[in-house]
Amino acid sequence: MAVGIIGAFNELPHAAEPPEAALRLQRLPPSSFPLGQAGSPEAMDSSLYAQASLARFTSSASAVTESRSSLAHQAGRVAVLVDRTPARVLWSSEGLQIQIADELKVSEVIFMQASPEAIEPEHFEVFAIPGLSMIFLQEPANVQRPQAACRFEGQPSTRRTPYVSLIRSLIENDQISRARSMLNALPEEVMIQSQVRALSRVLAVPKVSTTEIKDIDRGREYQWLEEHEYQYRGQWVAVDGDKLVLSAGSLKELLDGLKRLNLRMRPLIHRFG
Amino acid sequence: MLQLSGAAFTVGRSRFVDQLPGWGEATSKIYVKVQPDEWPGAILAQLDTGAAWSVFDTEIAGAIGVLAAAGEIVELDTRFGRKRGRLQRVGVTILADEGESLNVEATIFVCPDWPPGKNFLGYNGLLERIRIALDPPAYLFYFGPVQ
Repeated sequence: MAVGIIGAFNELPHAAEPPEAALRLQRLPPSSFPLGQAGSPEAMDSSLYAQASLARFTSSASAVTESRSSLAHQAGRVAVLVDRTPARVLWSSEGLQIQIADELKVSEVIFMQASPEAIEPEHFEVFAIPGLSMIFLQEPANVQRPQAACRFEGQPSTRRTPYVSLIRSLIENDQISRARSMLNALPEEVMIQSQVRALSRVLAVPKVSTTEIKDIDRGREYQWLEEHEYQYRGQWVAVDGDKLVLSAGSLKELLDGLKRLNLRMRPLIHRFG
Repeated sequence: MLQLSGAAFTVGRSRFVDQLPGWGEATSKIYVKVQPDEWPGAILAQLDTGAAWSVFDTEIAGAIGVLAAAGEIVELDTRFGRKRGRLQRVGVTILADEGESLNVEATIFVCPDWPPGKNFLGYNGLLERIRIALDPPAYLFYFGPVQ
C-alpha cells in the first residue's frame, strides 16, 4: 500500500492490522454517507476541503471502540484514527499542531490530494464504529493507491485543512480545551471565515461579572413547592413567598399572565413533573 | 463571603435545594437559582460539573428566544442519549440572596427535544469560570468569579 507518512510518525512501527471482528466495525455502503447534502453541516464545510486526510489505524481496536479518545470525522470523510500508546504524539497538519491525546498516537496517516467528491468509494471500505458516531474509510489491501496520493509525503504544501469540521468533531467528543487550542492556532485568513467566527463565539470562555440584580432567600417558595407538588402536577407555577401567584399548563400562558399582573417582585418559576 | 489567603474567594451566596420539587428524583442533587436574560423570575437549575454544557428546558429556551436562533449545530452525548442541538451564547445570572449576583455570558446547548423540566448548569461555557463552594448542612451555595 502506498502511504505518505509525515513528521512525527516517520519512526512509528507499522503494526499488523487486526482482524475485522476485533474492531467491532459495522460495514456500511458508501452511499450511506453522501457528502455535501444541502443544509447539512457537511455542505457548509465543503468549501474548506481541497484535500481529504485519510488515516488507517493498525493496532488494537480497543482504543477506538472503548474510549472516546479517537478523533474521526464524518464530514468530508476525514478520518484520523489512533492507537493507544504511552507516547505523546502530535499530528501536524499544514503547520498546525494538533494534540490528539496524551496517551494516543496516530499509527499511520495517509494524505491524499483529492476533494472529498474525488474519493472513489470503490477504493475504500466505509465503516462505522457502533455507538461512537464515527466513520472512517479503510483502504482495501488489494487497492493500489494512485501516485498522486503520495504527493505530499513529508512536505505538506498548499493543501487546505477542514478546520471547522475538526473543531466541531473535538466539541462533539467533549475535548473543549483542544478545540479552543486549535481555534487559537488558526491562521488569520481562516479566522475571518464566518463559520470560524461562530465557533469562536460559542467556544469563548464565559465572561463573568458581578451585577446589581439581587434575589431574596427563597426558602418559603421552596417550602411551598414541596407542599404542593401533587396538586400542580404537570403545570408551570409562579410563586412569591408562600403564595402561588399563577399556575398554567404552558409556559407561554404563565408568562402572558405574569405580564398582565405587572408584579413588583420577581417570582420563582417552576415546572412540576 | 468566603476568603482564600485573605482575598475574596466568593462574592455571593444563595440557598439551594437538594430535591427538585415534583420530579421524584431518587438521589439528592444541588439545585441553585439562576435567571436567564429576558426571563421574568428565578428558576432552579442543577449544578452539574459533570455535564459538558448547560441546558435549559425547551419551553424556557423558547421563551428567552434561543430555540429558533442561529447557532453552532452539534451532536452531543448527554445523560438523555445522543442529542442534536445548537451551542448558543446566552446571558445567565446566578442569583444571590446575600452578596452579589453573577452575570455570566455563557454558552449553552439548546436542544429541541430536551426532556421537560431539566435545567443544568454545566462545566464548559459556564461553571469553568466560577468559583463555587457548598455548605450542605446549611443548604448554602457560595460563588464568585474566577479572577
